Amino acid sequence: MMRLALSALLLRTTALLMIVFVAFLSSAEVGDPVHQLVSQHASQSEREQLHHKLGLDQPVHERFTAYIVRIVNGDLGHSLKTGEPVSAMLRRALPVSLDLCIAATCLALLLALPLGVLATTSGTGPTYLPGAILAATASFPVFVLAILAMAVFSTGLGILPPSGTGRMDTIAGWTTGLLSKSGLAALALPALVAAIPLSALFAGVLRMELETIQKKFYITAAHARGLPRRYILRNHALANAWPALIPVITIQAANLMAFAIVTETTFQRPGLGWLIFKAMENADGPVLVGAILLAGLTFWLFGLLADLLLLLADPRLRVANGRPRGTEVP
Amino acid sequence: MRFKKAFLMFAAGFLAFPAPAIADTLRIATRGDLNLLDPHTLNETFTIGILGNVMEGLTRRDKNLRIIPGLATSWQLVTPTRWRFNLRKDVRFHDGSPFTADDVIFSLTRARRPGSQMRVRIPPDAEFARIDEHTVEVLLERPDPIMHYDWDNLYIMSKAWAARHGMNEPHLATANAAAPSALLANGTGPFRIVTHRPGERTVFERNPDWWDAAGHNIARVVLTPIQAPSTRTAALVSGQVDVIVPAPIDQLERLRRTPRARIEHATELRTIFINLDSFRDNLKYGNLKDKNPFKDIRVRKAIYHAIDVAAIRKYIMRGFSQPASLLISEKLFALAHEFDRHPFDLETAKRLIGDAGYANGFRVTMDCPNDRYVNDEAICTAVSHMLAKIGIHVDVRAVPKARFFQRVTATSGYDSSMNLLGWTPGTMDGLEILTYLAGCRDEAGNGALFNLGGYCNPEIDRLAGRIRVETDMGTRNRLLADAFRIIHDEAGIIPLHQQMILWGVSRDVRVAIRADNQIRFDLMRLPERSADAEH
Repeated sequence: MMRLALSALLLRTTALLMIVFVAFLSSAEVGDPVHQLVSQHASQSEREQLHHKLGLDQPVHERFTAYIVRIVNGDLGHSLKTGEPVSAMLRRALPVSLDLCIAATCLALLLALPLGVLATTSGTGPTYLPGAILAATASFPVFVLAILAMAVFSTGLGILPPSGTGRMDTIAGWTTGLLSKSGLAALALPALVAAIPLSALFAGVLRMELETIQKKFYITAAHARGLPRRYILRNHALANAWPALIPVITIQAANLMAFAIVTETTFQRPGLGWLIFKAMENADGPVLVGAILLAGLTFWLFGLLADLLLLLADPRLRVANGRPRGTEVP
Repeated sequence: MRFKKAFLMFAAGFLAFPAPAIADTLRIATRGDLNLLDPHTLNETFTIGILGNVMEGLTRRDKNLRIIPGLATSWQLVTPTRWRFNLRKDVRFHDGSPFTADDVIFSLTRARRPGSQMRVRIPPDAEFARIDEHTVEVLLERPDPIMHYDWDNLYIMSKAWAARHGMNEPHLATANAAAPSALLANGTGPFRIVTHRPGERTVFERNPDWWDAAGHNIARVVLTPIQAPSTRTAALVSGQVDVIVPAPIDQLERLRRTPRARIEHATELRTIFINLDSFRDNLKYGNLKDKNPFKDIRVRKAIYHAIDVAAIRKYIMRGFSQPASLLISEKLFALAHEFDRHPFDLETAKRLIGDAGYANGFRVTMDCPNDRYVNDEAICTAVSHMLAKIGIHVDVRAVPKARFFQRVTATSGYDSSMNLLGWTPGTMDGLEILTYLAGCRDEAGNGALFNLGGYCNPEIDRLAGRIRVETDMGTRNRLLADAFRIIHDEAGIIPLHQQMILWGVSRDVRVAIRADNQIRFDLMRLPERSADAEH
């Protein structure tokens, strides 16, 4: 058990290192930050001094080693653009992303459950609709949805703001906009826009899983016993379909947390994805690498969360030496 | 059913909150963002423009960019190398401390320290002398008749305040840590900063003790960056903000259709132009490896004749550009009327290119930023189509600005055969065009650093040397015109247009746009509220 945990840890740390290295290489590729840092009247020797000062004239592997040493010591460096510590910028961005992640994931699930269930039981004619909605929403690009949503709710009806975070409150160290009216209002459109394609994905997975399960003997047996359809759906089918959804949900939630670049830049929410976008635009290497490192950590944590949730959802996994036990007949 | 109910409640909860509207607050959304507040760190239009609401220089510029008294009530050249500034009395900084000659000398000295991008605005040989509490002199070794042209953005800080906050030295844009004080500001201007979150949101409030009569009626200003063009537009249309800078050119129709908003425009000082590499002996990014057609004046002129700026204005800029015949805006050069563009004329262009021996054409790559100027990439693509008609096959290589500038500047040895650049003369004067854009340079950038094509005529450098010390403005303008004439006749650099500044403005808000694109709150007015309006 210990060895298993250790090897898992090693694997994930290696993965993180690889992520940081790739981020490092890409930060060297986004361009030259110096032009944006000096006056248009600055001389070439001033520009070169700055290059040297920023260590941009060092080979990538040396910069990488120095960086690793620094992060091990808890120093993520400073933004080339503002001089702010990267850690402070990440701390500010994290709660903004977390709000979007929570709201959009919950909303996506709320949409996905009825949609997935209805799509499974639907056949032809009007009952075919949920499947059609599924197919349509899955294929909308987020920025099109965003523009549409703004057109309806912001510029059309004028009831929801198209940008910003609204008021953020801090309670017991947790900063969130979920507790204020303006925070919720600002979150509504980005969460909706991020949730729609996600709900299609969740519903799709759910539908596939439900369709597989419905062909199982225990479902047939339950029907034979004369149990009500709704009871079977809830207690037999849905209960067994859940575990398949968990890894999908957690990966997508991590994705929302770290890389909601389009949603965050479109709605001007200064979260992690927005930070990554800005860092690329400004060729701000330390911020880019720091943000990607945090994104890597997010996936790492959400992976862990998925494992835990699976344990909770699927009793078979809790059995030591795990021979599956239960009602399933091969 | 439970899910449905929960969802409906969730959605209803969201929809119940309208965006708040505050009457005496002006809300501005900009594409650019405000980072450090140290007035000497960055020499960048957006930052110094916004800081100009909070801080002041010895001079100011009015909305038509005429130089007017600022913290100095008057100035004179006592001798050609000795400037005297008479300072305004009874001015106080936002923290209450009085403004004196010591603050001026401290600020001018500070602006020349390492880390300051503002030091290019002060002659290197200048010395400062305190004559009395409200008089300062600047002593030069050689005359500089336009020394004060860009002093409107050379802001004066309080010496005592700076000492108290550890701000004696300019904050380095790239220092390892931003001093907390680099996010503070203390000026004498019409507004003061209440809160500042770099890149996210800055709140200003009116300075009730300002020495000048305020022409505005604004109590508070909230400045938020919104980068995404459609969101910026939506923010204006939905009433979330009152002013957007800039209004995205592809959203103009939408703004025109909205009763709630309108478009305001002004011609910007920035000129957009094309550099052709006439420095190298071969065409580095093209199909001619043994010769360089851009060294031939006839080829350069053929390109000039083949570019239809009117079409670019109509189809790409949607009417919002001003075709340019010079590399400097006509607002900044008194003799601009003497110049006309070489006309758009394909026949002449074809004849010239045939005479030069390139009747069969050639191929070249044009470097272009895609996020720096208004429709930059589209302009390059249009130029490519236009030059195809005279047999020059242009491949457009459009990249984000950080990569573009890395490639085309001295940093990479001017690694480009043809490129698009824009320039606003920070000094508001034509000499800068010669010393930065059109004078000769070597491959390392000694000389005119931003001459990205390496065009060179030594006569221009000779003229620039004379212009630098000429104190008679009539003679000076004549010399500038002589230099511009050479660039024009040789098509050394090909000007295209000045782009327009476009703002989206809420129906009832009044604004005046400065051509240098600096955002000044005191040039804006909120709608007057009637006496019975609720507070």
